[in-house]
Formats: sequence, C-alpha cells, structure tokens
Amino acid sequence: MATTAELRRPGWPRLFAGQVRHHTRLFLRNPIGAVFGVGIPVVFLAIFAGLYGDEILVDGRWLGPSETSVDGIRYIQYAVPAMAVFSISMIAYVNLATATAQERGDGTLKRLRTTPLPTSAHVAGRIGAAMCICATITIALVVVGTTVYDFDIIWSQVPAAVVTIVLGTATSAALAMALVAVVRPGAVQAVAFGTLLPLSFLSEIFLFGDPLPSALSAIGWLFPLRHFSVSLAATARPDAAALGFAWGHLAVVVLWGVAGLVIALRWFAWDTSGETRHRPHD
Amino acid sequence: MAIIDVADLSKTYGNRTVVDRVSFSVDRGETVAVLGHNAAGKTTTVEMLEGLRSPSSGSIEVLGCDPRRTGRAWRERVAVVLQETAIWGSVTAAEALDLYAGFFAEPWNPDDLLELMGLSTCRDARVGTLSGGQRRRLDLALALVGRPEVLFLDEPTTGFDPAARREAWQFVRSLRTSGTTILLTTHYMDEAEHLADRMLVMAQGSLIADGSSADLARRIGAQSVISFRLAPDLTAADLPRTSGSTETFGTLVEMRVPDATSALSTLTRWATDNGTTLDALTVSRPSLEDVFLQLTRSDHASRDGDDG
Repeated sequence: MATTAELRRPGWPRLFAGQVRHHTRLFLRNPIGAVFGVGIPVVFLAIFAGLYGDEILVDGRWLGPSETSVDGIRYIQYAVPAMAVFSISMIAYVNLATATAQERGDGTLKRLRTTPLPTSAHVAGRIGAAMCICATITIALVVVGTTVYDFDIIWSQVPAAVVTIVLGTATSAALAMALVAVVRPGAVQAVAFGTLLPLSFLSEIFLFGDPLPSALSAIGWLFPLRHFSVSLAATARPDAAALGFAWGHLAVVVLWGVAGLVIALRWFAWDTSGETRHRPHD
Repeated sequence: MAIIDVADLSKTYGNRTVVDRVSFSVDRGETVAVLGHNAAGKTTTVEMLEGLRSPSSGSIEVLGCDPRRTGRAWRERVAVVLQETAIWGSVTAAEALDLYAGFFAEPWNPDDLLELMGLSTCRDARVGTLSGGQRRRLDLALALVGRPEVLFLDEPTTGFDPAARREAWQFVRSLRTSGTTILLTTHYMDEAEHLADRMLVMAQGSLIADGSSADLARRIGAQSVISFRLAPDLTAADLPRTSGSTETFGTLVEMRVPDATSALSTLTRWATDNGTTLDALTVSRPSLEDVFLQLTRSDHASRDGDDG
C-alpha cells in the first residue's frame, strides 16, 4: 500500500519539467555554450549567406550566380538547415557531453544520485533542455534566414523538419552520453569538438567551392552528421519528395542513436570511481 | 531498533583491502562518529552505506534495505553530504535549494532552512561566489531539505573556521534532538566528542574500537597530557611525584596523568613552594593521535605487518 508520502510526492512530469528548467538555466548562464551553440551558427549563416546566398545548388554544388531554375536550389535553402544541424550538434552533442562530464568529474552527479530524483527524469530533463534550446535556435535561424536572406519555408515539409530535428537531437544526445561513458572526464570536451569539427567539413555542413575528394566524402557518409544534415536539408528543398522525409538517411541517424544509447546504458557511471553504474530499481 | 546494521563488511581493490571485516550497528536517533585518519577506510565505508559503492563481501542494511537495491522511497528517507561539496556554480543558493526541495512531498521551507543555516544574506548569490564554508552549509541544507530520517555526513566541517565549526555542531546537535539518526565521519577528536553518542574508530580499514568517548577513554587509560618548561637549573628528578608517567625533551616536560586536577594542584604547589614557574603550561586531552597509538598498540600488536 502506498504511504501518504508516496501519494503526495511530486510526479514524474513535474520532476522532468524541473530538470528541463534547471538545465536550460545552466546553459543560459554558461557564456561559452551560448557563444558556440548560438553565436557561431548565426554568424556563419550571415557569412555564408552573404557570400553565396543567391547561388544555385545542384546536388549540393553550386553553378554560380544565375536565376533560380527548376532543377536548382538557392544556396540559402541549404545553409539554414546546415547551420541548424551544426547548432544542434554543438548543443546536444558537444555541450551536453562537456557539461555532463564536468558534473560527473566534480561529483555533482554523484551528489544528485543520493537524492530521490529518478534517473529517468534527470536524464530526460537534460536532453529535454537540449531539445528546447535547439528548437529555439532553429527557429531563430529560420527567422533570420527568411527575413534577411529570403529563405523559403516549405510548409508541407515542416512536419518532416520537426521529426528530423527531434531524431537528430536525440541521436546527438545519446552519442554525447556514450562519450561521457567511455572517455575520461578531462578529455570529453576535446574529443567532442575533435569529432564534430572535422565531421562538419566531411559532411559538407560548411560548403565550399569544390566538391570533396570522393574518399573524404565516403568517410563523411559513414557518420550520422552527414545523414542528419542531408535529411534536414531535404525538408527545405522544393524539389524533394513532397513531405520531405529522407527515410533512408533518418534510419542511419537512428541507428547511430541506438548504438550510442546501448553504450551509454552499458558503461555510463555517475562518478569517476565507476561503482555507481547500476541501480536496478529506478 | 537498528537503523543501520553492518556485518562483516569488506572492500578490496585488487589485492588492497580498504575496509576489513567491519561490523557495527546504529540505533534510531543515535549520532555515531566514524573516527580515523585519512585513508582509514571511513569514506569507503560510508559510501557503501549510501549505496554508492558495492561491498566486496559482508552485508549492509540501512532502514531494513540493502543500499544497492533501493529506490526512491528509501532515498526520500536517507540524505547524504559527500566529502566533496559539488553544486552547480552558476545557480543561486535559493535556486539550488528549490531544486532539491522539489524532489520531496513535504520539504522544509527553503527560506526557513537558509535562515537556519545562516545563509539568508546569500540566498541570491551564485553558488560559485560563496565561500567554502557557505557552500558546505548549503550542501548540508540540500541534504536536510527532505527531512531525512537518516543522515550521512562525510567530514562535515573540514575546512571550517572555528566559529563556523561551532555553529555547524550546534546545528547537528539540534537535528539529533529531533530524532534524526546521524552517521558522520571525522578526523577531529573534539568533533566526535561534541556530537556523537558513540565513536567507531577505524585504522587501516579495520574497526579498532566502538564505544562512547568515556568507554574509549577507559580503554586507553584516559590520560591527560600536562606539559611545561622547567627552569634550566632544575631537572625532572626535582619534580614532585604524580600518579602518571613523565617524559622530558630537554627542558620540556610531558606528564601523562589519569587525574589532571590533582596532578596540577601538586605541581603548582611545588612550583610556588620552590619559587619557580611552570613556563608554557598546557593541559590537553589525549589527541586522536594518542588514542590511535594506544588503541593500535593494544589491539593490533599481534597483527603487525598485516597491511599498510
């Protein structure tokens, strides 16, 4: 029989909401996270759009300035989703991994572990906060893109964009947790940055004049970032399938997310002694 | 009724034994201090009781549960202050406490608790800007906000200045009055004496004594140490007889006596009668060091070379 305390204890949704609020607050008060996660994508969007905004892309390459043709797409239609993908990766991968590793290293997570806060509410709250921040930044990028650079929102593809962003954020978060689980705390930030930046180039998030050599391009296709990027770009292409779902690419993103989740569940520990791995009754 | 029951608890890392067959129990409402030097196994023991580390062998029950197999209901009743204070630096004291209060059905009012801990003036200060002592008190407030039945405090006052330490002691004593069962670790003898009904003394992973301070004092023959400097023209042979042992280090004299009052009276009368002074006169309780020396000497003489 449930005791009074059990009946009156705060429910999961309230604890989850509290965690979302708390981790959003931590993000907003961390200037480095805000600069890298918000400032850089917006500045890059301005730079790239200013340079190439009106050029025409065919299969991810541009033809040089000309009128928009039926086959081609203006560069800005690629740049807005690409910067959203970069921003989401910064926040839900680099930032989430760095913050979690730091809290794990200094004992904050261990301390929290001794409280009645359910692990599921805590972890979901962290990821929920990352999703809220990512959604806000994506909206900001779209607003800047539409008002300043004539980015066209393809309304029929907005549901696909939302699904893609949610899946991409979830995969980024799962990979962040996997990283924290297997890399020592001091190295997590370096590894997170050190994987995201090269992959951003290999995934043509930052698109330059010449195509990538095919070997480099092939490497890019092995990792989830390029599939995420292509999936989101597909939701802003007038020539894409009507609803804009890139199912094949999304499947690769989800597979990586599942792999990250499995690693995190198997090896994640709440402190550096590694003894706080399992608590069966959460 | 035993709130904490530990039987034959051991923890080994590789071939290093950190906690060695420790058994004890703590009753409801008791305050018990685990006393020992660094690396005596105190923190490892307490973290096993908190469910943060797994025992290598032996059994633990806290509130009738194995701490490794508990859930939310158990954690609502058991609170922990870890050895290292770790709270997000960018939230304010009030925000941190509100967050923790939100985990419980009937928490303390965070503002009342901040006031009680002397933190009212820094309720809106970021945790990162607080002093070490203030952070520690906030840490204690976070542990107490859910009105726990059992409280684990791992070196609660290490790094406090004397005034802050007194305040913290007073606070812990008030908790004891309210019926909270408290297990604390410390390497300060005076802290254990001020707070605890009972002391568990650990050395090199083993429990070498379990009892009240009076029990322990009796076991080691509770000797106070009287020390002073003799005038250069006198030697220890000139001193009056007292009921203890006397050691000299140059002009420094250290007497270990069971009854400090009568020894002092004898000494001061002798000094006055002889027209001399007892320079740098101090009387001290046996230090933790003394207790250890005595306890380890008497208990572990036969186990020499066992470890460490």
